[in-house]
Amino acid sequence: MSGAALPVLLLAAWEIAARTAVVSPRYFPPPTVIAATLSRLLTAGEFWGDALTTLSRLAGAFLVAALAGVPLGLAMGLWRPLRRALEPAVAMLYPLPKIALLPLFLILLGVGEGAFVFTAAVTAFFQILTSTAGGTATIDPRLVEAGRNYGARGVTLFRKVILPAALPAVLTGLRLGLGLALITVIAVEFVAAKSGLGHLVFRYWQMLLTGEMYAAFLLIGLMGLGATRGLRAVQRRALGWQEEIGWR
Amino acid sequence: MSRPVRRWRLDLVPLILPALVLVAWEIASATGLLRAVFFPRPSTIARLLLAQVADGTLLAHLGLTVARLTAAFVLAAVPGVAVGLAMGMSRRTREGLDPLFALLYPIPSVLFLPLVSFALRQEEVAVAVTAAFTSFFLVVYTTMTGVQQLDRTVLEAARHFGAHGRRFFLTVLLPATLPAIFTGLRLGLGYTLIVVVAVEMVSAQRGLGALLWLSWQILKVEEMYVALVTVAVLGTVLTGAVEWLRRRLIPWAQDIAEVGA
Amino acid sequence: MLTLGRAVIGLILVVASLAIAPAATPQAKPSVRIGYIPTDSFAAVCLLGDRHLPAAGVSVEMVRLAGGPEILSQVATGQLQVGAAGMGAAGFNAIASGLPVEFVAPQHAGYLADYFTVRKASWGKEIKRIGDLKGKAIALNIRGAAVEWMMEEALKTDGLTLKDVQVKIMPFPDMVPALESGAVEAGIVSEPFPTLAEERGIAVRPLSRPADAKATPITALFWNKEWAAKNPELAQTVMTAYLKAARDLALDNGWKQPRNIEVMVKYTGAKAEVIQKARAHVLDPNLETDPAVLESMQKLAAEMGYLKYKDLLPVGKIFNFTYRDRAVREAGRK
Repeated sequence: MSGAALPVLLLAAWEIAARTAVVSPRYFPPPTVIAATLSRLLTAGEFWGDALTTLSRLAGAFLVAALAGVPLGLAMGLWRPLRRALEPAVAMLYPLPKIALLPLFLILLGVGEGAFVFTAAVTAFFQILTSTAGGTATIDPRLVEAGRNYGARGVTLFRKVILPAALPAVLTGLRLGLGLALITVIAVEFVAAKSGLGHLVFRYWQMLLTGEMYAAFLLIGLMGLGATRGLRAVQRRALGWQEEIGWR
Repeated sequence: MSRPVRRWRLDLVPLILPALVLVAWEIASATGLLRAVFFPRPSTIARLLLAQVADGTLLAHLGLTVARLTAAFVLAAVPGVAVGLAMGMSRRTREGLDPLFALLYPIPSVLFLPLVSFALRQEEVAVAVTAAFTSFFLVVYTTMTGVQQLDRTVLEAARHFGAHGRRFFLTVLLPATLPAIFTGLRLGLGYTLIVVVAVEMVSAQRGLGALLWLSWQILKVEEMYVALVTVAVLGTVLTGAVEWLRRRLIPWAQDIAEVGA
Repeated sequence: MLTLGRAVIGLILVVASLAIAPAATPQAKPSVRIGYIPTDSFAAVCLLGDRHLPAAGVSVEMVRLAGGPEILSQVATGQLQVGAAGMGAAGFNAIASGLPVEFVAPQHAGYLADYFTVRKASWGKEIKRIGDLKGKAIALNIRGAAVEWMMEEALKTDGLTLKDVQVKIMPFPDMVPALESGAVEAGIVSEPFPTLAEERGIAVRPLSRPADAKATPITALFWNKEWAAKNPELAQTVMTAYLKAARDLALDNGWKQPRNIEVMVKYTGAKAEVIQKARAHVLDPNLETDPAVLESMQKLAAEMGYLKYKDLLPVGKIFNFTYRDRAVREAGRK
């Protein structure tokens, strides 16, 4: 059975269930209605400005998180004392929902883009850090030994052996971090912003316009899909040597 | 310097950074550099925490959160690992489901809690499903990439030696993927806790998230910090438990930092 | 040639120009940052910031925040000067903790009859009177605030208290699907959601407003005490503008006037037709509020364990009405 059939089946089931009122069409509008609403709103010029705002917040948060998380994660993975020093702090801060800390961030940073981007960046940072550090720490030691045996040291060892070996984990962390950054941006916009797709979701829910709300969800999903596809393209370029495993 | 002394010193290292931060915070709050109403002294928070543990109220909230966490995690992890393995092994499955998952993943599941509650009627079930949502995708993705990153030659060799079908799966593929599965489960557990707390903030009467939100709403800020600290400790304990389990079950995944880079 | 005379005249001119220059440069416009929540109960604050303060020559930045404690904390730390929030435990605790905020006027008030919403499927059957709510699930959007006090007062009329019902906290929009699905039997719901629920045929508001009913104060305006002390003229300007905003809504069916609804739509994104159909929030044209109700709310908050302090605060410590009194005096009572 082709994997592509499954989403189509699910959508069809939803469409039928909503049209026959098996599920409430008011709270679960049929997918065709959602798609139509989205295209109507897009052609009417709505959404574009807010989508751009969300995208720029996402970009800012992701860049900050990646630039901070990858180097620190590599360092933590390679140098045990650093990892031991930082691990408890990371372990304690990671489980806190950053949206719960938002009021405190707003007090410290003031209401504005800085606080929004910071909150999303922190969430993504912990993910990228953990994935990178974990991936770096579990590189096959035989690779490192082999590299050393061939005379690689220091920076060369890092560039030619360690970094490529850690790259899959780094990219996994980046992809997950990107998704988490978007989730957090939307949540922060829902609660505290005057613009952005998350704010639109809030507005539509305040008017109980579920069709429009789902359309906004769809656009958020498409944005996430697009962003991860972009990252996937980077991944393919960076990890070209990895064959894909196929079972059937 | 003898070995035992060095190791003892090393064990204290993880405590240095948090201790420094706490001391700095205590001083800042006590001297008014940080407004104590919004950033109370760690000593005040600690005292309140102990009092709430002593009279049982905190443990009641904690218990509820843990129960919801367990339910949500099982809901996320079991299908998550299964689907992740399937997607890792079959390109068709992966290409079919990956776009759908990538589309759904970025939506904060808390936002459709009222819709899920409406559909599922049973409130706690709605909470578990909503909290499991994002973690499911996390587990799927890390499991899938774990399978994809397996050393192909090892698998080919195993098949060459006659391992097929179920035997191949149980004796070769699954053990090889276990490290990635564990990473996925650890991430999934951590994130499930975050979402459970977030869902409790929006909709629950009791539980750590509810305690957090309600104390903030009435500006009993010390109690909010007690809830935050409890969540942080819970998360740390859970991560530690998963790591302990990982070391028991898959001791062969060596730590490069132990070998020395 | 530079003679002494010419040098003296030159010096006088330079000094004179220095003296005149500051007076000639335009004064920096006074500015105020106001915190609000995007619901139409904050209409008065929105009119204040959008219409009357700019008309008085004050530049305004409207800052959206998620809830009362966020606005209180932002005003307390001086990042905002003015804000509004629900009157309740957060405000009481803030004042008692010595934060530099003072409440200065009420914003909107409400009648129980407009808020108390019951499932249509249940009303007249399992629920015929308030007493039948015993053991049932009731929706409130927050604890420690006026809506909880309203519910308690309503329950008391039929011999119950909050302890006899199952309170479920959820945001107002969530109450509509919750009423429809039966997750709650009733709730204290703020407009426009009761109207939306009634239109969909899933809920009713069975109570009627008694003739002598007094509206319960729900939200209130507050500002940073230190800012007001340093800028008393500006603070008074804000209060006068706020009085005008309140009167815009309270008089001449102001709540339904298109020019006011326009502002509400701008800040909340709500639909104009929906606001037209919904019942109006209540504002007092003289910004009066009943101190006895405030004391009763504080007492309930203390009983429920929400307060960080023991000795109840006198209303005079919570509210500073001097600016309001002066504004009403100067504008004349309506």
